[in-house]
Amino acid sequence: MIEIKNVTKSFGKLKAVDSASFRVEKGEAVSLLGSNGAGKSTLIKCILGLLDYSGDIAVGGIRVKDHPKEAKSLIGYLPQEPLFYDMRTLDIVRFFARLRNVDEGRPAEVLDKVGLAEHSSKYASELSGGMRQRLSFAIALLSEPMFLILDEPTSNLDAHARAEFLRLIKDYKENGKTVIFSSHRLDEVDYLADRAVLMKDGRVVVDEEPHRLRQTLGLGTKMNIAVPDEYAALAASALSGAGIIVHGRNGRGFLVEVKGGDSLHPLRELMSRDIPVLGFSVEEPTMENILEGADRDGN
Amino acid sequence: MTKCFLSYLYAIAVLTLSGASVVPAFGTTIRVSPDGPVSSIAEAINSASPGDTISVEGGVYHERIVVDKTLSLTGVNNPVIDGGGTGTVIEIKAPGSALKGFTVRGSGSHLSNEDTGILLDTAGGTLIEGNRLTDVLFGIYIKNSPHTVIRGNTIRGKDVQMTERGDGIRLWYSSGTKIIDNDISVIRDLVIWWSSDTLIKGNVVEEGRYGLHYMSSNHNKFEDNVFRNNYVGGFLMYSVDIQFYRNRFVNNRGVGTGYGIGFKDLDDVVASDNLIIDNRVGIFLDNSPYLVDSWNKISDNVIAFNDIGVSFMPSIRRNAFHENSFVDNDEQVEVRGGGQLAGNEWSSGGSGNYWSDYIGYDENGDGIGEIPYTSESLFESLIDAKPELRIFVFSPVAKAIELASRAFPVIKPEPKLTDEYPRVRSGIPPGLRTGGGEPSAKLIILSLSMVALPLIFYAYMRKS
Amino acid sequence: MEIRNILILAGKETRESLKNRWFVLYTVSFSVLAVLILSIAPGRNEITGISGYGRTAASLINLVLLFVPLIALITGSISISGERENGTLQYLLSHPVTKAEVFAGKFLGILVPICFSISLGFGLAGIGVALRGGSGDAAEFVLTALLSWLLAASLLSVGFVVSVFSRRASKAIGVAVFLWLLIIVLGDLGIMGTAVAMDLGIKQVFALALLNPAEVFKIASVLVLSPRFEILGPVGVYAVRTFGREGVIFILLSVMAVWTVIPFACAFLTFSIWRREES
Repeated sequence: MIEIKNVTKSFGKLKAVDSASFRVEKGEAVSLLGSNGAGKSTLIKCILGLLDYSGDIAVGGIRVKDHPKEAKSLIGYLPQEPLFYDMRTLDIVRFFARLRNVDEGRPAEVLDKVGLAEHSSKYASELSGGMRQRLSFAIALLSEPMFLILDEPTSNLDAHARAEFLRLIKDYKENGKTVIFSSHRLDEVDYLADRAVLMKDGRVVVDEEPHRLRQTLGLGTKMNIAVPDEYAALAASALSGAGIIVHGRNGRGFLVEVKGGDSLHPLRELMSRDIPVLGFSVEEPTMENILEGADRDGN
Repeated sequence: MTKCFLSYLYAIAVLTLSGASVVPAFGTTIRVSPDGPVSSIAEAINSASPGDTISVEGGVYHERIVVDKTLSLTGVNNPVIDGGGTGTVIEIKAPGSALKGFTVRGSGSHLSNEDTGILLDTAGGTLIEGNRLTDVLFGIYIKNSPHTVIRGNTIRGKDVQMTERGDGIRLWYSSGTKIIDNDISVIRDLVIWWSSDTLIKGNVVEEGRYGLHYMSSNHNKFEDNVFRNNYVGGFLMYSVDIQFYRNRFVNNRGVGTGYGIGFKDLDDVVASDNLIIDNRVGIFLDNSPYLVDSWNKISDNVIAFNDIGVSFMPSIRRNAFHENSFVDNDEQVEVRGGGQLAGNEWSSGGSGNYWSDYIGYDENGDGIGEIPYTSESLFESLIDAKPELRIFVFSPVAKAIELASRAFPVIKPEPKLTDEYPRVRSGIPPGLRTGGGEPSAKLIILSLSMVALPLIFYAYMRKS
Repeated sequence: MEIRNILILAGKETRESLKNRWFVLYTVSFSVLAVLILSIAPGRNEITGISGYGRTAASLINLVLLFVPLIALITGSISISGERENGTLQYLLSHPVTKAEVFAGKFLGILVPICFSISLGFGLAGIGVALRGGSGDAAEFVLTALLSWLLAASLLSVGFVVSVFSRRASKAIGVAVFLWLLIIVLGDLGIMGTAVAMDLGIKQVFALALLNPAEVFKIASVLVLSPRFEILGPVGVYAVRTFGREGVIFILLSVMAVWTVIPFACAFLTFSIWRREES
């Protein structure tokens, strides 16, 4: 369990984190959302005791301010930009393995797990960004910590690597461990997170299950629905009548917005009136929409 | 001067009376042995007539002896005369006596009484040879005894504080004396005062205060002596016509003194082929020469590894330094109080000295550098002017100052001296080069471990 | 503070030093020069019994004075600032270590290889002297090496002070090189100038010389090496007369200890308490 109570961190006049409070239960995966500068990384550094802050953070019941070392030993951390000493990959992992007092065999094991076994004699400077991300993840896994804190873990990865990476994180979560990760991608949030914490200007503005996020922020799913021309007028009035916002027409289609994520609602409405639907496409809200929503919400 | 002359006359008179030999060997021989019948030397002397010989068998004789008639005392099988720690052990008061082959030990230790191993008082022409003196305050004290010969004796003083020691040999108003092949250490000084026309040859003086403490004695010669590990190798004052040949002045490092050899008011010195090595100051010149028509000639010496090669008090003139080798003295020449030397000579007939810090070249191969040697170290000028700054010797700042003065001639000091014909090869005698001696085992072991330790550590760190 | 962690961190630091080409270059050139000094001045070693180890070591003192402060100041100055600039410091601190452990581990891990380089250079030079039949007291030679270790420790501390206050390694190196010049040349030059200009006495010059750790090392080495303390001139004689030889060595060792402990404490406290954050 990680408990964040009323945490504030200022750099000069700027409040990078402003009275943030939330809890992460054991076995839970929580996604930290927010635009750049919203305070996610700063908050993570506070959890790790790298920064001074006011308020209180407890990791696994240990107060970070009092026992930073004990708290950190419970956490595996993956920084946004993993940076390493210029040593061989295996030596780097061994070094951190010694610091965390884990078995001799463990470094090879975690490298294998993240698929770096064949690169273990390469120098860190020879690794690609993605490989470094994985190396950092391997180090985070070393002591099988209760908590994983991942700062944009997939930002340097291509599509294939990302899928693999997400699966690794999911495995870990399913072993009953707790995960906090910051992300820019909603699909990752949907795939991994039990809850999403949205930050803006240092404050926690939303703390919800991911699927309720859209609703909470009043975001609709956008749909493009095509009907035959002769039904166009009928369709428009039917949709409006059902309380569905019609943003406009393009060609044979309507651009509509559905609240609450019920994408079938406009289709059902049209079909109940025997208006033939030629086709449709669904456009899920993007992170940008969410962040815009947060902005709207905030203003 | 008058007194010197009188002693000289006296000595001649004694020699004439005693048969013109310093070793009178005539008359009867009296045997002394611990087993008797004569078991005491004093008893033998009592019963002897002048000119007799007393032959003393091996054994220990606990007595103090006064030789008041001309006798020849000869030790056979190393007899020991033990003074029991009070007074003077042997006192010889008759001219033309001899004392050979004894071990003399246990004088008193009162400096005010001048407790001595062997005292010669008005005993001119006496021979003291092949004796061994230990645990004595003064070793051999030659007072008013001209034309004495002190040869092949070993003298070890009392190992007490320097201020409580006596002199190894003290020559006092005893002109024409020869001090040859003696081995003297753990004493205060070797003193030669008011004794002219002496020859000091082949002696070793170590672990004392003044290896040579010399005053008002003219026309003396020093050859093949070694003055080593004393506060001062030799210090000579108020005398004329002193010659030094092939002596070694080594590692004399007294605090505040530490001269290999020092001259004060000394005229007509000739010093050649001497080794003056590893002293605080190799040669110290104070008001020497003193007489306006006198020159000191210092040539063919090796002056090496001293903190200061030659130290001049201000305004010293008329010293001729020719064909010496100045090797790696931390400061080759010092001028006390700073400034330049004038009126001394650093070369003659187109030949100067060897200077290890000379940075010229010899183009025509005649052994003489084509550019004059100048001693113009800015750091040295600074410490000559302000001796406190010597604390910075060996520091990089000293080198930096030299570099700066070469780069910016504006701050270059006037040269202390100029040798127009510097020699490019040193004159270190071949015998002195003894490199390749026995390797020191202790040093090798310690050095090897100093090398091995890091290597083992590196190997270990690479492996794990 | 866990000793275990300090040793792990020190071990990593040492391994990095050993692989650092500058450090290797330093070790090799120090050793080569130490050995060369013997061949440059052959006369000194060829006259046995007259001049042996003392002279050699005196030349080594000069070499140590140029090399050791430079490497100690520079490696010290980039120790923290370099990792901070690389961002690896923050990553390291996200693991269960304290800043105190990181600091102590770094100090130890840098000091040990420097000391061993010194030992290597002295040892090789010593073997050279011994093989050529040089005499002299071996123990005094070892003592000089140990004094060089102390010198390395004190200037490494100073380097760490530079490091904790620097955000960029390049800037830290610049400051370190300036400090090196200050300690090796400019400081002494200043004292000499002051002494001449103000006509300072023996006591003042002695006190001023004590301010400079490199100067203190040199005086201590000369005192340890031989009875040749008169070579230090009136100031040296005054010091030995007043405090006794052991007394002076004690004072000098204390000064070097102070030069080690005070900057170390300053850097340590600054790094681990005053400037706790690594953002």
